[in-house]
Amino acid sequence: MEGRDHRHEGNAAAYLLGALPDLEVQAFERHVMGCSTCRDEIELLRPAVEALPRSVPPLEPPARLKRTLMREVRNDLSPARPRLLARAKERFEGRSLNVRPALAWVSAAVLVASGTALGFGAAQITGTADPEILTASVDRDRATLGSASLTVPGNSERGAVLSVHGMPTLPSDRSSEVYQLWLERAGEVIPGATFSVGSDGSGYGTVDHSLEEVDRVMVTREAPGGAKVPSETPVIEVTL
Amino acid sequence: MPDAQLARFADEELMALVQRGDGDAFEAVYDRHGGAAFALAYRMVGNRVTAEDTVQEAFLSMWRSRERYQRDRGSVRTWVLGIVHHRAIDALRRNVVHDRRRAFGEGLAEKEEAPESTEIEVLRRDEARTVRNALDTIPGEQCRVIELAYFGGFTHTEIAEMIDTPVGTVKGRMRLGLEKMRRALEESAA
Repeated sequence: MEGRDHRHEGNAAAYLLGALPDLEVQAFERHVMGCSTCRDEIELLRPAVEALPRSVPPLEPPARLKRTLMREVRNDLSPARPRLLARAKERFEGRSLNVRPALAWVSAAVLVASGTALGFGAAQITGTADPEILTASVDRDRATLGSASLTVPGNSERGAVLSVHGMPTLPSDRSSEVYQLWLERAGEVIPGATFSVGSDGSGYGTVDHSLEEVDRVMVTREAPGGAKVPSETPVIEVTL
Repeated sequence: MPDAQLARFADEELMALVQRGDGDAFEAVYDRHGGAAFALAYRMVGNRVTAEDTVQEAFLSMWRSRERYQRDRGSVRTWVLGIVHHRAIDALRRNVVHDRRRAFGEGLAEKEEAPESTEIEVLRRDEARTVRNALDTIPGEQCRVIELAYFGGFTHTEIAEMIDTPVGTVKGRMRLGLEKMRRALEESAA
């Protein structure tokens, strides 16, 4: 038993259940770092413990709880509300007023090109509710099983979210890489956020910028921290 | 109230927005998981006021440490409920005179369930029944120590004293019970 310390035998279940006193928790966590048997036991029992709270049927929380909570959250945000979000809001509001034909074109292109008929009419895209989901093309040579889609909130100031699945995990040693988003607008390529994927190849990248007049959203593999110009052709590409 | 469109986002997509400081996305996360969080807290601490405080503390700590959320370490719901559980244990251990026995085994939660107004809530009730069925497959003495620990917030030594049983036996019952429960859940999923 690698690193087994008999003082900790049988502690994995108590640890997961929250039944170890604080001092024992610290000692057990130190022990687990060097004991694969205890780590395996934790992983074995974890699904049962994670299911326990789900045995309780949901209760309607009092409305004042949400009011108080969200007041705190807004207070946290108000002094340092990122300027970027405000600018994005302006752009998106401008888009709703001024650029409807372009967005209607986007809708038509998505419905025709991707075959992802989501039932969104052109009026909905510029207006009220549903997010638009654009299917991305993925380079099969570099991501054989990969797929990706860009979710654009219908009237949002929130940019967009790129969801990827089945992408190769990138090396995590010193030669490590991350995925990086890029926006192409009028021939200019603008660097975006970096993101990584989990062991199942799934991950999310967020687009902070307005998509107004953006022609393509792309993803490349770059060094940690991202690059100023892409170092390779896109592995993922969404044409707007 | 968050935009209706946010309600269409997957939990992980919402968290990507929350991590960028989007309060509306966080509100959507609360709308989705606040009921389960409040039910768990109420089940553990046994009164509404402490349960409200516990859930508020838990969600505020999630908001303020949102960068720490890692999607590859479990679902958003597991993350939320794990933090609520820790906060409820803290509340129980802070208030040692509180009669923690009230918090379990008396069906407190059953009286004020959220209305089954959405498909998701119906699914959650089904899920709750499935987990309770899995708990029912565990021998009574194993189920008892698991419930005392998880929902009652008692340590293994406190449980050993309460039921007049050696600590090693208590730990053994916890482990055996969880193993059986995991198998029962796997069988019901299959």
